[in-house]
Amino acid sequence: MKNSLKLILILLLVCSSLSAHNVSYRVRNGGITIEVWYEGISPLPMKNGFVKVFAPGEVVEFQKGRTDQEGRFSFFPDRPGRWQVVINDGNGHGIVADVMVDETLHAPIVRSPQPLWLKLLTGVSVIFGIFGVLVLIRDWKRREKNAHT
Amino acid sequence: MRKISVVFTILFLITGFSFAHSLWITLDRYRINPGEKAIYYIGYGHKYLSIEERVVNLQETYQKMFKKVEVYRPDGKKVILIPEKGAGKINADVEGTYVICTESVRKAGEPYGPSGKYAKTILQVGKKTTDPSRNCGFRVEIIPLKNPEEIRPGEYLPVKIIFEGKPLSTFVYATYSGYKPVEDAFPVMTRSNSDGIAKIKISNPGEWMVLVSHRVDYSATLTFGVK
Repeated sequence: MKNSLKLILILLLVCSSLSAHNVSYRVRNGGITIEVWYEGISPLPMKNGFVKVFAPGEVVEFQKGRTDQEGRFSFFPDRPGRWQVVINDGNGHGIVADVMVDETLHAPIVRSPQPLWLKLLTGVSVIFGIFGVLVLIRDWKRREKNAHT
Repeated sequence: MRKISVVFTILFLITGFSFAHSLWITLDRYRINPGEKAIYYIGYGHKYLSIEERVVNLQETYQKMFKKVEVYRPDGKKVILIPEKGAGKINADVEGTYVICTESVRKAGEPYGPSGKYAKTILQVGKKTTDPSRNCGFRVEIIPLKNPEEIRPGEYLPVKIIFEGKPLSTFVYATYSGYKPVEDAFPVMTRSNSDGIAKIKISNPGEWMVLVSHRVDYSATLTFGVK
């Protein structure tokens, strides 16, 4: 009996020392993903952008890495609060994104904020743009009508 | 009416462009003797401290953007210089530390909307160092709290970041001439504290640039030479 116990103990020790050298994995879904792109008429993803993730109030980064070919980067926050993600392409373009992580460690889906003047200009431009198209259609219809008479 | 609507439709298309240009000012020499002249170059674009993005090497439209350069001499006098194609000479007959400032500001009513790009550099004349923390009056500004002339590789340069006169806690980046972004976008990235103070680790001699960016579309740079 004593010998069996010794054997089990030795086996356990051997197994535990082996486990320190084994690497296992599991596939998980979730986390928070940030997507970065260059604005323009045809937006382009910021590929291989340099990323640093900062936990709330921390000076040393929580995580660093690169964006993928689609300009995406994912991380799993371990606490709620205002996380900051800094992404630069190493060529003068970059963003600092504030990610508000809630108690369930999720974040709402948001887009980068636009300045007020840009929102106003966009709004007014849309109105005038629609109006302009209507005026063009009306003129075209008038010309068509005149051509027939 | 039709003309107005077409103009606004075009504006709607261009508002999607990104705003990422930075402004900086470099010198041919950051250390000269009294009586000598230094040449300054305004830089504008993405390739920090590069020769190809010196305004003198850019299109005429860029060269017309910069109206003046202000030089704060160590004797307290201010000299205003008019750059020619984004470059010019600085006469330095008084010994001490000179602070040189320039800016490019766009108001809300102008195309592309409001913007403020601010640049400052430090010129050392002779051996006697004086206070480099002269405020240029920029909306966003980087103020060196120690004279870069006294900084050696391996040491830290403390700077203070202010926005509209108040300390700003933000990310602060630094790079040096010839840095290649292989492992990181910037060799130095840190954060200013609630007093706006950040410490920049200077790793090697040469030309350095500290950069901060705040909101859309305000940024400031500080350039200097390290022995």
